[in-house]
Amino acid sequence: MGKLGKKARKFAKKNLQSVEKRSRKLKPFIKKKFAKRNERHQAGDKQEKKVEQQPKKRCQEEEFQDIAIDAVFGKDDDEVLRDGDSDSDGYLDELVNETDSDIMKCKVLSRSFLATCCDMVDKEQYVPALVRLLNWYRAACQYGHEPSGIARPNIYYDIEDSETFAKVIIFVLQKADHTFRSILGLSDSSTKEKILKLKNNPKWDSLKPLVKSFFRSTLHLVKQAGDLEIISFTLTQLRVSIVFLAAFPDLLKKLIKISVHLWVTGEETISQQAFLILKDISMVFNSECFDSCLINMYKAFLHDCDIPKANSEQRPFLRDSLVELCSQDVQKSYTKASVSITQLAKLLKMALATKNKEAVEKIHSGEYINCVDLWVNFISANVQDCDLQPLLYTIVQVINGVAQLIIGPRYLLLRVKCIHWLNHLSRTSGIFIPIASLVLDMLEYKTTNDGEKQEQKLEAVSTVKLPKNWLKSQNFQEQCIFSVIELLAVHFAQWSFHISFPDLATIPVMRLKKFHERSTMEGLKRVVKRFIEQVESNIEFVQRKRDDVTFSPNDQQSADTFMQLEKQNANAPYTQYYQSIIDKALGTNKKKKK
Amino acid sequence: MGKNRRKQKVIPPPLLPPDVAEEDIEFSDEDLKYVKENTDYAQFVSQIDTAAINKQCGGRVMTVEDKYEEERSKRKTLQEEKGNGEILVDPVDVLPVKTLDGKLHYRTESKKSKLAEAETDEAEKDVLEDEHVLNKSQRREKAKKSKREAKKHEKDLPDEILQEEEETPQAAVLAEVKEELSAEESFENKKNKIAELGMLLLSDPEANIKTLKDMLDICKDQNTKIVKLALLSLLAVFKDIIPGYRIRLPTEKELEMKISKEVKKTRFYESTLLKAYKSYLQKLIIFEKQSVYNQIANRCLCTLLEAVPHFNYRDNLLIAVVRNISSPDEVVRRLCCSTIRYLFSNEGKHGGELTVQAVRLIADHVKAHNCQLHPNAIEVFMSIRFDEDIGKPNKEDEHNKKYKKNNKRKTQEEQNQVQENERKKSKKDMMSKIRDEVSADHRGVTYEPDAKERRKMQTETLSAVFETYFRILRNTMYTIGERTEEIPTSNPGAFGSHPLLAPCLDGLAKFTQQLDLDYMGDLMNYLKKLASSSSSVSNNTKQKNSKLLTVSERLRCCLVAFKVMRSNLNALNVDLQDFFVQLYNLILEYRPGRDSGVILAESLKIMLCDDRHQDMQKAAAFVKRLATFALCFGCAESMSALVTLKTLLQKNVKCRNLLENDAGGGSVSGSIAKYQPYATDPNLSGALATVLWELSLLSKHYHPAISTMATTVSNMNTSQSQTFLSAVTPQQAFADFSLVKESFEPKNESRKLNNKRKRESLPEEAKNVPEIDMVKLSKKLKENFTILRDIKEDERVRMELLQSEEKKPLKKQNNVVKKKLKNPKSKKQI
Repeated sequence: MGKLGKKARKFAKKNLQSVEKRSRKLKPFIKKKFAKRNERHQAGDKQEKKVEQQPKKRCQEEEFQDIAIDAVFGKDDDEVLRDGDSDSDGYLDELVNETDSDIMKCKVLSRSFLATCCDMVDKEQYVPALVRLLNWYRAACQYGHEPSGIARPNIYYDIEDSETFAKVIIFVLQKADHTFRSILGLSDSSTKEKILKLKNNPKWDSLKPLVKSFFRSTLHLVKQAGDLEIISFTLTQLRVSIVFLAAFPDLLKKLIKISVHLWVTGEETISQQAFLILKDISMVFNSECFDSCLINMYKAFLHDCDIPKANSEQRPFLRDSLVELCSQDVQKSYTKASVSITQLAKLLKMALATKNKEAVEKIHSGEYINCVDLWVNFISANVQDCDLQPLLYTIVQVINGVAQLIIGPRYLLLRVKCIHWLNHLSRTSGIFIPIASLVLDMLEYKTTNDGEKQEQKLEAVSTVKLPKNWLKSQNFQEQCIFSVIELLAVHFAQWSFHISFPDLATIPVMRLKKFHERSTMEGLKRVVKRFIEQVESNIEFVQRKRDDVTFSPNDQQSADTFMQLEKQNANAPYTQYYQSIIDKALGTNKKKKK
Repeated sequence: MGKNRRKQKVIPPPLLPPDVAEEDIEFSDEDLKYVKENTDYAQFVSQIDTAAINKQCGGRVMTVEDKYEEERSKRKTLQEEKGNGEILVDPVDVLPVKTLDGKLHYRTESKKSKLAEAETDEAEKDVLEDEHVLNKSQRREKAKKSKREAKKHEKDLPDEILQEEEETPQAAVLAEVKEELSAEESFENKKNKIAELGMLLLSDPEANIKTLKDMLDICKDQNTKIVKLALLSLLAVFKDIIPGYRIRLPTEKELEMKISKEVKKTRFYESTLLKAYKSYLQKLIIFEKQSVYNQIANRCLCTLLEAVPHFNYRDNLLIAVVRNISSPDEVVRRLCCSTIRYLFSNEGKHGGELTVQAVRLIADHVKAHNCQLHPNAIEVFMSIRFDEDIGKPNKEDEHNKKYKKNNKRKTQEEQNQVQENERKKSKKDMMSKIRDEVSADHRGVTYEPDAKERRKMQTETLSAVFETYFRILRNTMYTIGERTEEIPTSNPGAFGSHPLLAPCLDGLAKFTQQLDLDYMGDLMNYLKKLASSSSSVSNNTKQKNSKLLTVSERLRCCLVAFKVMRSNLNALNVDLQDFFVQLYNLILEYRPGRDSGVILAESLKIMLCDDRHQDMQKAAAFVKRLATFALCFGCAESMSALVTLKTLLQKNVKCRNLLENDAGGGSVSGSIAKYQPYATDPNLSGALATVLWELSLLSKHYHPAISTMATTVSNMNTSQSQTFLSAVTPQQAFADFSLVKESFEPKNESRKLNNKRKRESLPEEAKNVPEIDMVKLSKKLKENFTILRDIKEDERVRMELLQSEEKKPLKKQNNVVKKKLKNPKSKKQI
């Protein structure tokens, strides 16, 4: 911006008339104030960028070596965008009013004039009126944020009042797409290829600057606006005409960058709208845009995971939306996922071999855990449609390694999360993943001071490690047992109708019985007792069905179809018990949130 | 000589003044004066020479005598008396000066008497010195020096005075130099002393054996560094000096006999060496108890025991080393353990005697500390080696013992006597078998005593080792079975509750071949009780949980039992069912991360895979339990269980009924019609009545190797062509599939991806919902926003007003422009 200012000054000195010089003397006083404000905004942006860039580099260099290659690609994107910014951005030419432009030095938009133009554009698709309207739209979008360089000093646009301002923006955002399509003779369901063919259309040559001006102004509005609903409305309308961006790749990249930023930092509605734009871009345009969207979102997601937040409620949304984007093109996402999971496996292997504090801390960092969470959800979402067996195998090994890296009660939350992941993968893929040994090991977490009844509030701790004080509390042990029962319940629910359920449940039931004999807390005893009874009743249930069967373990298909009717029927006793446990778990989660 | 000196001395005083007067007065008598002067000079020269020689000789004698007297004073007191004689010599030096200064006759006479006495003493000393000390070369040097000094004295008398004055500051300088020695210099001096003494001993030990005492005295120094250096130096010296044989002191009779000089020297040398060595060892043992010298003392003791295990006082060394076998200091403990391992593995140096003593001492040590030692203390036994020959007579004894059962005599003495008789009989048999060759007889005669002694020593070693092992087993049982009343008295030691149990069981497994049949029954009973310790202690409180044996420890007991039976080729009819029962139950109690999976895999291999005779019921029970085990544990454990399961099914064809679901399986299952998953006895579980349904779930395992193995096992019955023996053992399977070793990369990557987009419709539904509301809200907010921007316009207007009147015409022009714009619009509308 500073560079442009200098050029503008030189241009002004050379080309201005004496009378216009006087008017310039008056204007700088007003502009200086706004210039200072702009500088402040820019400085703030620079500081934020510096802060953001540093942790990204550290993360990329340290843990994900292959992704660092993508970082170089990202830099190239930034350079391209910067080049795009340096293009000259001026008002459109008004051919009809050339004679008037010499006389008129300042144009003010009035209500009546606006109404006339709107009617002409809306009903008759009169191109000159559209040109004027887009110029006023540009002025409205940049109102209060005019750039210092003006290409046409003889024209100055101003807006009469607030109502006119609002009408201009709303009308253009609502009607622009329809108008463009009607002029070009396109339908609403036109595809990218048709738009690319527009280059052969003679009308496109005259209409292209208008479309470009519209998009540029809209992007500027999205950048500068601070209001929630204005941005949301703008993004919603921008989605409708996103196909036209095929002709403007620079603007497309700029939009991707802005959308990723809003997706990560915005609130719920803005984040959703931004994600929808990114999704449309990845669906409509070619594979390069998909790659850039995926890479930018992935980096932003990991960067966001590094920052500790009080409210981490939005993170699941970010993760789910990223998974949804990856699911659009599983072929390409598979490549990215395999690279990332391989990196996770290497880090884990180092930690298992050396047991260094640094290596273990990397494994226990929020970034590593959230990355595993991301890929677990991705594989769970797509494992039935596609063949993701290698990814599934590797990620399960990684999760087992993380759970067994350090055995101790302080890492209870991490272990519970790992087992949740394994249960999730098993449920969605239909593959058997044993978790009993991991779960039952938590029964061995013995607390010293059993008599103490410290009712410390178990707030939702997002950290991986628990403080030492909590290990002595009674609530901790209760949480251990409830987690064990919940996890086993989920595991058994998946296989409760499988022919080998009695054998699967033998060892866990035996361990729980011993625990039941050993423990002295009545509440825990009651819960464990009920769980054991339910499992045993289901064992008898399956046993009776199994005795009537005529096939042998060789016959895999008939084994799979075993008890299908009972499975669909939701009145099975264990299913009801499982639902009650899940409801209790949800209830406890709600209480925790409150 | 004395008389001549008296006459000469009387003459000079009267002659000197008149000669001078004559010279000054008469010039014509110059010739006469010259002659007289010459005669006087000749007389003076003779006098001066004798005095100078006497003085010079006296000084040299003093210097030499001082040196030798210093040395002799350490040895003899007589030399001190001679030192007293020197004092008489000192005033002699002073006398001639005074005589020259003083002119009184009386003083000169009194001094003359003293001079006479001194002269006599000097003469005697010269004679002694010449005989003993001075050599020809030294004599010549003295003669030259005397001549030089004579030339000097020819010049003038005052030169003598100057020389005398020079001597006194030298003495002062020496005194000052001595005072300047600081502690550091004394430290270095002591270091040098240690080095010199060491070098002397190493160069010629027989001649310099007495210096050992000097080095031992240095050990009493207060500086710890010097003490350490002295100890290490003595260690190096003793290493080299000590001969390759054991020193035997002479008896009283031998002392009375006449001995040659050479024998006297060697005896003196040996007795002195032994005394010094003994005192050195005593000091080491004392220093060992002090924390400052603990490590160095132990290092010296261990090094000596390794270097000279054959020498005298080795018992004391061994006692000290064994005492520190379970020292809390890790460095000391490692030193001692490695030393004892060295002794066990290098019996050639000491003939095996130290092995017996060491094992005995360790056994006593374990007994004294009530089995609460560091595990390293007993791992040492693994280095002991026994000859293969020991087994043969033992086996013969075993056969004979079977016959002895009728007699029922079990006293040790009788057994020893009977063994001797048996040995004689065996020898006779050997003689009878061999053709009566002379060479065979000679060989037998020459080697018999060595073989006998060696067997005795090794049998004693074995008995001590097994005594220790059985004590540990008994102690373990006792601690587990303690009553609640004795809880506070028995606390686990610093090394854990049962630190010696694991090395004890490992040792038993190694030495099973040397174990007697009589002890096997006891051993098996102990192992049974230990392995089944959980059932008997089930009612105890939580506080006792630390005393219970872990799963891996109980698995070790089962392992040892099977190894014992394996090595004896199942000679005994011992019931091993209890161990199978324990293994059957321990499989359920296994916990990865806390218990060792390697031991589980090893026990599966030895007890199930390598077992020859198995009951069908038992095999089926284990097959079923291993399948259940594979469903609940990680890759490594599951894989080892499946490998074992496959091996069992391959060996027992009838057990393959588990792979099929036959309605009429009642006849095969036997008495029990239903499978009891929680049964504790494998024979009563009724496993044949069930089917291996676990395999259908395991075939869906996420690990491809496990799913493949499960599929192979389930198809074993139908496709018999695949029944080849698997080369993989449970141990290898466990090692290969553990998380640390296994690679995380999948081997076969198949990228056949089928894109199915089914979720496109869902997000579209969410689009329409917020639009309606947003339109209204956005309008309202934009109006507010524009209001804010109106404020900005007002600011602009203010700026314009503030500047000057010049703005007014610009405004007018703007108004004109606006008016003109309106006009064309109206025309267009028309």
